[in-house]
Amino acid sequence: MKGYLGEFEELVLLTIANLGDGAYGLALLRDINERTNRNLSLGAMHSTLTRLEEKGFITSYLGEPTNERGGRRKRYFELTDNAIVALNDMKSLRDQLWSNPKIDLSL
Amino acid sequence: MQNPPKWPRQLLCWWAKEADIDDLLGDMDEAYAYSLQEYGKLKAQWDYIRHVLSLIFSYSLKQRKASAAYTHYYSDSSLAMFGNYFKIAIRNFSKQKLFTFINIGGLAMGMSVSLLIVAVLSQVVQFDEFHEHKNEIYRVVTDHQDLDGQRTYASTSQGLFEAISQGYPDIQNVVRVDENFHETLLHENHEIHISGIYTDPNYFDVFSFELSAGDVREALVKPYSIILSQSTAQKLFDDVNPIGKILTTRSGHHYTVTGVLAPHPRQTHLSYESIVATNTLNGKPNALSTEQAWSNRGSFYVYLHLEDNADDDSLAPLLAQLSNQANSHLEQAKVNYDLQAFTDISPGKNLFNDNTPFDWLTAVFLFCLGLLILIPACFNYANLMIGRALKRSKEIGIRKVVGGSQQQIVIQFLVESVLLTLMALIGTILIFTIVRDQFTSMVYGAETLDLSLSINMIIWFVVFGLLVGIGAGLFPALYFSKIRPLGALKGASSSGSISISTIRKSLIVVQFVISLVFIIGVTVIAKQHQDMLSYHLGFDQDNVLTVPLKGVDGELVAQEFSNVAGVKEVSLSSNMPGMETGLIRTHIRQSNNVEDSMKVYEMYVDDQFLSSLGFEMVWGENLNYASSINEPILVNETFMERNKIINEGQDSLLMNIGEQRSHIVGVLKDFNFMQLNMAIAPMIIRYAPERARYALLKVDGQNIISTIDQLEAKWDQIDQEKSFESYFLDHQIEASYQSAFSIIKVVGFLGLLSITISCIGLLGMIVYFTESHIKEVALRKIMGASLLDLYRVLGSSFMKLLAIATIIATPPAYLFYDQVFVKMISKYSVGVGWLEIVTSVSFMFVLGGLPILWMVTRLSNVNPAANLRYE
Repeated sequence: MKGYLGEFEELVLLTIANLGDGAYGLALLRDINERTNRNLSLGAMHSTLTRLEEKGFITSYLGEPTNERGGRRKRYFELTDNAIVALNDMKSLRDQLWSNPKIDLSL
Repeated sequence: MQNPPKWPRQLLCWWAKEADIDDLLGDMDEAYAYSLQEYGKLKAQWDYIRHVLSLIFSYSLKQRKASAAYTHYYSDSSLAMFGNYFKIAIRNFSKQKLFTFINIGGLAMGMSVSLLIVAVLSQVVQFDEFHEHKNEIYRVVTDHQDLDGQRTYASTSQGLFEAISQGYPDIQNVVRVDENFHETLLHENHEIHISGIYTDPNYFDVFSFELSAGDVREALVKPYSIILSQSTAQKLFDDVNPIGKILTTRSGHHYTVTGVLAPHPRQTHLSYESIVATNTLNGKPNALSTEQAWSNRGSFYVYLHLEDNADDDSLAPLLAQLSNQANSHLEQAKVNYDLQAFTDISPGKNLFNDNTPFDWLTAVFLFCLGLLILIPACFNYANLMIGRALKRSKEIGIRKVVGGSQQQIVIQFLVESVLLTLMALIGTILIFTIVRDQFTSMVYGAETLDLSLSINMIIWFVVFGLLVGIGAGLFPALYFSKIRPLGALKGASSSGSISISTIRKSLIVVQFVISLVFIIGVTVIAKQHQDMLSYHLGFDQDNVLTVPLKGVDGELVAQEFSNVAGVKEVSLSSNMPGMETGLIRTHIRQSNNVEDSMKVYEMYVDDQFLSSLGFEMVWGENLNYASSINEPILVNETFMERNKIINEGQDSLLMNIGEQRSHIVGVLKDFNFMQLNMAIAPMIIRYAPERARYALLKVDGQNIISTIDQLEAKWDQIDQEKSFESYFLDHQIEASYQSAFSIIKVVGFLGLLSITISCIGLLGMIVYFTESHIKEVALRKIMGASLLDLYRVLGSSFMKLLAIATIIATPPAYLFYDQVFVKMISKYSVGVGWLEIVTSVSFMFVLGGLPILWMVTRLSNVNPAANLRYE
């Protein structure tokens, strides 16, 4: 399996999938911060997004300027097919591991 | 809603440069708004700053910046863009032919003087670079200290040469260069003057000169051997092999040609017509006393070729020892020998008695002179370009709107100015080739310069042109690059005229001040030259024929010449009055105290001298050669003045000249024996016709030619070998002031350039001014303004500038020329009069007025209706 996804990368990709059409930088940041109870900065967020884009897992496009934030445009992110394959690989790997009857991870 | 603090965002924008961070800014603002609502202002601001800092250091921004730098929109240096600049520049030039012409003309003239200096500089840096041992050769220089102060001489003495030649470690070779070889050759019935050096065979071991004919080992071994330079050999013998030929001098010596120098680079300070074996001097009866051997240092140079591991420091002890040796022989002075590296000689420090024509002081002076002409020309360019801002600002506005960066605009205008400068350079080179020969005929040492247009020289010129282009274009380029695109697009059409700023007006004034100073200089020198020629020197110089005696018996000549019809009186003198520089100086002492002496000039005459030249006596009688115990002498008034000071209570008419007891029998009214730039000095006139060198003949103004013919016939009866020469004294005096005339030429040339450049600058500004006032003129005409009114309205503001320039320039120029300059060229001048100033100022006004007149006339001849439709 090529291109291991990091924990945070996987989280970002899944959040993009969750947010659907509204996946732009700040929305992603807020969603992750709320769900994981972290306090990440915009810089860390965008750095990861840029890396993911370079690896070919996401693409981005600029939205139309709106009045809501001083006319500044949002950059939206979408998953590529590669990302979907990688996420599925991750999931099946996990499922395999979890499905072992000898596993004992009860809380 | 409260806004976030500004500075983090500005910091981010500045850091991001051209990267696209629009979405990041949006995210930041949104995050702030959200935090403000949720947690309050303090937390919101803190978060905001945290986000900004994290973004600044983020990988994301780094990548965005990197990709922004490669976008084609922002490429600064693509070839296509340069092609476009080039095209736009050419189109602009051809669209504005008058401006282009003015700019090219102005820059061409402005660069001309500097180009000459660049040309000289390009040669000077190559001086003496071709010698193989250049880094191991040193010249011995002499620090000389006496009552007159301390001076450094480039020359040294015979004594030092002999002392240092005795074989010291560290010194490979000692070579002397004695520049005192001057002879007149009798060659194919011509008298040819030849000068050169005395030196030894090791000259060729030390310096990299070679012989094209003859043997280096043998050439300087025998007395009266002479090596000729290539050009001298060519002059004397054409293409015949000169080896073994005998050259006979007027003094009856015979020199054998033993070699011809091979052609060598011209750029050397050791450039001589001939090289003669030193042992030639052994046969001549002028043995020096020990003191003279150590003190005489007339054009006698010593060069040392050191061993590889030695340098000037390792020789310091030896030189100190030799200095002590020298000082033990010297009475009134102290010397200290030092070494000067061969490569530091030319160009080098300004030393006394130097045998190189180039020192740094002169170079710096010339450089400043060049800049004085060049800088106003560059001003003009800047001035004219900015004057056209009105037309160009729209173009720049568009360029900026479609994404041109400030840097690109700067480069565009620099390309334009460099292009124009290179075009002007062609004109400059043309001027250069015209004035080159004039220049080389005036500059001392020009024969060592090769000012022909070689590839090397052209490269120097082009580099110079590039520098000037960038220098001249930088200011307008920066000015244009700062134009705000929207303002330019909107404002240019509506605001109409831009007033001519004070800075630009003052630039014009500065230019005219410089030119006025030059023009006043020209008139002042011309006037002084006139005055000097008509100055009454204190004796009658008209119709006096001087005949150099050339060693023939003077009294016999005088006797024979006095019988010729047309000759009124004949007298004999050791010197030519009115222009003499080489008078003999002696010390007159009243006691044994050195302080009680005075330096006086001596001359020797016969008893006819006073009457034939019309000298006036103040007291006493003419020289009476009825012998008495004390020698009778004449003195001038200055002598009596000075004598009072050193003579204490003794008989003022008696004194010692050397061992001779002398008695003053008469006092002459002061007269200018030397050129007018020398003050009248104390002088004594002694009766000694046998020491005369000239016969001075007072002749009749008529039938001059037949008189001279008869004189020549008489001369030939007395002496057949030496040729008869005669000059009119007043012509000789006039010729001796030639240097003043060449200064007039130089200053005149500079003045002409300067005033032309200033007028071009003025013209450019007037053209701009009238173009922006074209509608106003049309309206005035329609309203019935006469031509005269238009001249007044349009011309007055420019005339005001000329008036200001006059007021600024005149007082310092007057003070400088009156107090410094005139004093330098003549001690007996009446100074600068108002006539010179008035002439110069009116000259400037006429020249400055011409462009004003031309433009207004052109403008007012156009149909006003056509003008109103302009634009």
